[in-house]
Amino acid sequence: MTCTEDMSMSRPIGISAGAKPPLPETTAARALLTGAEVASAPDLPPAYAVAAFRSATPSGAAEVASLLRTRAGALSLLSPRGGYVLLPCPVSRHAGDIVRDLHSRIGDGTWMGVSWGRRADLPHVRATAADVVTVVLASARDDGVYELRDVLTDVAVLRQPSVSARLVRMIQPVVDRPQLLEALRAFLDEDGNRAGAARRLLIHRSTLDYRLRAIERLTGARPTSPLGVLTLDAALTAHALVLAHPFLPPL
Amino acid sequence: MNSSTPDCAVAPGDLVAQLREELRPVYREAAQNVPGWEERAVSIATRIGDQLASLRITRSSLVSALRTVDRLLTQAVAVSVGTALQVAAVGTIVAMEVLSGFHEGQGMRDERALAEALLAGRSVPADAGVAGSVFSVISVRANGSSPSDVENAFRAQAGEVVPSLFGTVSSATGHLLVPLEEDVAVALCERVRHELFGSVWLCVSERPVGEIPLACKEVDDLLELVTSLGRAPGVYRITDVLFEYAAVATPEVSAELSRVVAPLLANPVLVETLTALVEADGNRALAVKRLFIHRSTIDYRLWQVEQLTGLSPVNPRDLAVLSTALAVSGRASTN
Repeated sequence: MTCTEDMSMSRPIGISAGAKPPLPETTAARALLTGAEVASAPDLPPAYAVAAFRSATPSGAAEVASLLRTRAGALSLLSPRGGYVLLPCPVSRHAGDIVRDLHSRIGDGTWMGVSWGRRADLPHVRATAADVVTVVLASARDDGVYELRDVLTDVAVLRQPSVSARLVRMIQPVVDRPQLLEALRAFLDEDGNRAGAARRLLIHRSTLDYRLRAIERLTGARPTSPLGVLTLDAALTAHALVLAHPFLPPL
Repeated sequence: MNSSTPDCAVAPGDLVAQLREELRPVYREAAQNVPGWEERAVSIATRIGDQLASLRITRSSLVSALRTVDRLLTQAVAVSVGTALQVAAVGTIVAMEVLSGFHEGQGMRDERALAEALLAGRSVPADAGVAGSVFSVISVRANGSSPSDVENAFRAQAGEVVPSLFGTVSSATGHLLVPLEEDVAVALCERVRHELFGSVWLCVSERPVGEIPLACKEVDDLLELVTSLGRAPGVYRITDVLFEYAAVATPEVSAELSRVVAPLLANPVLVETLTALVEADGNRALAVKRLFIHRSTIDYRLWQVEQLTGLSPVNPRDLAVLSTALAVSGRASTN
């Protein structure tokens, strides 16, 4: 990715693509997400579901923006390929459903991370939603709506640089060997089922076993144990995060 | 101890008097040719040299004091023709051992000062020769061994692997610093663990020279974590408890993990089943054998776990998350 692209990606735009001065909704969204003065806005709802999203298509953010126009109290802060959506939501357990409903109305290729909180907590809520969608993308999961609960260990690793640095160092020798990387990806996609992974790769089961043993030798993580599966999975995610580029608008 | 180091140098007269007092029995035994006098002379002289190393005296003043004391004691013990050789020999032994103990002790004192500086993240002199090196920091919890037992065990085991052992467990932060990569340090810790009595936990972390304070924090957190998780005594590094470590350090995640397993905790049978499955590496047939239950019973219980938590124990990734959640929430409830 070039530098110019990067800058245009992260430049915030108004609620409808092309609007030049920031709309009041954008200002309110930014104020809420950064924890700036919100006491002066007593009409705002007490709690929000916050979704951080990434769209595969250039029109994705505009699509989200047009859907939000009909929703009372909805706020957003968008960049061309992603952004934040704030939906009024009084109780935490409804947050996922409200965002899934929104997601079902837009086309394929949108990844969303959701979190919920009271107005005063929204800076933390935003960070959680952003971390959730960030690790979802890094771990190459299907498009959809994700909550912290779905990606607990990946978010914990992302938040602890000493841990993610360890994992990156651990997995590097595997990433450097395309055959091993391919075998590991297939093995993880098959939830640790070796027969399934061998079929997927069109290789013999013993060839796969040989590659998994090589992975164990290089990383110290045992692919046949549940902890080893989680460790290798988290390590690939941590490695992908190193290369990730920003898609959320700056605050 | 370093803390008792006096601020002023020892007066030459005091040094002579002290040495004469302590060495008199050594010379007397040599003059009477008491069996085993040589071994005793070596050990007493080494100890004296070691003790003197912590005092602010120079090598030349020690050499001249030893010469004076040798003359005085040789005159004091009645030298007969038959024992003149022993008395001459004891003088040589004493001088050599006191001086070598003195040098070794001074070296250790310098090492200690260097280790304290590195552990505290202070800059160290360029001639210390540590630029670009990798160190491992070790924190120790030993029930039943004193800090000096631990240090001695490290010095005994380090032997030829470690050219010099830097910190000490009695240092200000309670850490041990070794100029070794983590894998080698872990092997050393395993040997030390077997030499010590009682329950011993050792936590190890490697860092380049400028980041040693980070390693100190990591091993402290790690030691606190493995003991609070109820892990067996042993040698640990962060990779052994990676997810527990990351989760505990991230309050939102540990809170959510506790919420995930909260419905399970009311049902000890399900917790026991999950624990057995984790110990069997997710192998249901093996877990069934260990639990003395029927295959269909475990399937039913695992189905219940999935209903209660939303995580499927037959998926290795979910099983590892459940295991982390049980560990982290169990830790929270014991604290």
